[in-house]
Amino acid sequence: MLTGGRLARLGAACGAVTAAACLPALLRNPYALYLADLSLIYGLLVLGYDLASGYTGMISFGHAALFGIGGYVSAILVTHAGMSFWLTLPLGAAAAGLSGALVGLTAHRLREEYLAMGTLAFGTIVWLVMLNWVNVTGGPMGIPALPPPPPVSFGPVVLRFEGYRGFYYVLLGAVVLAVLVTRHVVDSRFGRACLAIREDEVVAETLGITLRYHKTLMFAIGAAYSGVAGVLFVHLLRVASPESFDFSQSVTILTMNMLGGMGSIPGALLGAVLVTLLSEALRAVPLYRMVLYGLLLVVMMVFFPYGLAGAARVAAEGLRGLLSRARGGRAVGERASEPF
Amino acid sequence: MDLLEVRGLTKRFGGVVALDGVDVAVPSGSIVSIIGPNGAGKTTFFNVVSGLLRPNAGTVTLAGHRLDGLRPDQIASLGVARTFQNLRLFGRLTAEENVLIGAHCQGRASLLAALVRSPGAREEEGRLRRRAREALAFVGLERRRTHPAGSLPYGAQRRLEIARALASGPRLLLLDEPTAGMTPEESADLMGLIERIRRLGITVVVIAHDMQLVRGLSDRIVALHHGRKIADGPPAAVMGSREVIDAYLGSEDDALV
Repeated sequence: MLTGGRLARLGAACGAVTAAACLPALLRNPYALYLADLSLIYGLLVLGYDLASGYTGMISFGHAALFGIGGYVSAILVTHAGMSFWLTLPLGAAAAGLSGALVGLTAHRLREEYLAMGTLAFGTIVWLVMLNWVNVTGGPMGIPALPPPPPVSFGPVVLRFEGYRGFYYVLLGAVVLAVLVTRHVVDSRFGRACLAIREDEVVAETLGITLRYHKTLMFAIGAAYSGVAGVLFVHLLRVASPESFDFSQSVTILTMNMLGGMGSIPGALLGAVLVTLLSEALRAVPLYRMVLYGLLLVVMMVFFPYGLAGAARVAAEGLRGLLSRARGGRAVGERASEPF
Repeated sequence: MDLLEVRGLTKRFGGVVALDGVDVAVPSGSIVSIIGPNGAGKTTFFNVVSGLLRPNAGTVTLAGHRLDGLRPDQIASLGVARTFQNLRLFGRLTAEENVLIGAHCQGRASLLAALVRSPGAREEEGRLRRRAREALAFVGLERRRTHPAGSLPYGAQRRLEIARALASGPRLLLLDEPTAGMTPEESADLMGLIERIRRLGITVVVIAHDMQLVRGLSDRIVALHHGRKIADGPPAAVMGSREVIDAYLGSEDDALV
């Protein structure tokens, strides 16, 4: 059964996917295509991050490590074991997912600032391993000369993924899949239990919700997204190197999430695109990048705690209220306050 | 037969003894009220029974299952639901979402089934939603199901919290001062609601501050004072007891000082 609201959302989603699929045709410049690819990778990353932060209330400061684990697993297996990208993609996701499960399992008792410290420590440890385990990770130089995804043939049809344009469709497929998975996870008994944990852990527990199971599993699912993003990222850049997975990368992910709005799929994607473009614009002044992110975080926390998605929802509700008042009806306002 | 059996329950916070060897038996299908002045240990009693606190000594048994030592979620899935003295709704979620989360332990579908939206998972989702609607209707809030819980009037929030607890399908419902902050009319309505809950076959333990309110409702009253049980029995007997009157009004010895 499709209600008006759901139909409108379905239409908007189909429109967005179509527009996204047509985008490479409009972009002639390879640099613009590269930015589009990068935005999709960050979109995937923030969607995964949001499962833990926005939908379960676990803010992590070590998410770049999970991103990196996916990337390095693929880089190592492709380079040393000669595996195909299409095999390392699920393996990278699994490695990151398992690491996420271990982090979730050890950190499920930690709340707020303690969770932040715990995940920060995890992120730093993983980064130090990447930086110093030279035999395996290549140390500060990383693992260079990674190949693009090999072509896939379905009988006479051969799909090629070389170049930013070919890569774009792999990434778009991954993001669409991630959005669908997110929707189904969030809109389920499991997802509601996670929302309850976000809102009030103690009450959630007295309603029969097992904190350890839900937190660990949600963190692991989000980590698996990041693993996929990591594999795609290193093959896009053709190199896996530690500087891509350091603390500032974790802050970037958090900034995207906060800017777009936690607990919102369009918010996650919007935040990813905007901060990707912003950080490219600030490429000439890398020092100011972190300053700006810091400012952005503070401004968002104070004025728009629910991010751009939340602000948009408030604006839409306000507009609807105005319209119905103009028509002489009563304000709709049923769900106007406190969007998330 | 007793549904809940508490023996020798003791809970200490450092040097403070919040519960001191309390024995309580709650017969199946009854309404039992726990009364006592502030700091008597009433809420601590609920916190221990629902698993939020571990007792230092004593046992809690629900129909033969030992509850002490279990986690709150395990106790909840054995059929114990509770409300809180200071309303603890999920204020940003809608009334219906609150109650749906309450129905959590009525579902079994795995995450994988939910992910692929299997027929079993869809069927279960429908069943949980029906259950949530029923619970909202039971407390008279079905027309407000899309409202954020935090935007409801105070009395409605109290009833919503009860609906959330009921949706879990409890055998034992613990209500912590459900009438706190209510007008006399709202309180009377709530007493009626508690009576209707009992008629569903659910055993109810109510913490109350105002003994007049619960006297007509309760099959039995347990009075606590400084963590000890000072009276236990039918309402008339408990409210006439010397210890209870002294605990509430102060004894004559105190008055002379």
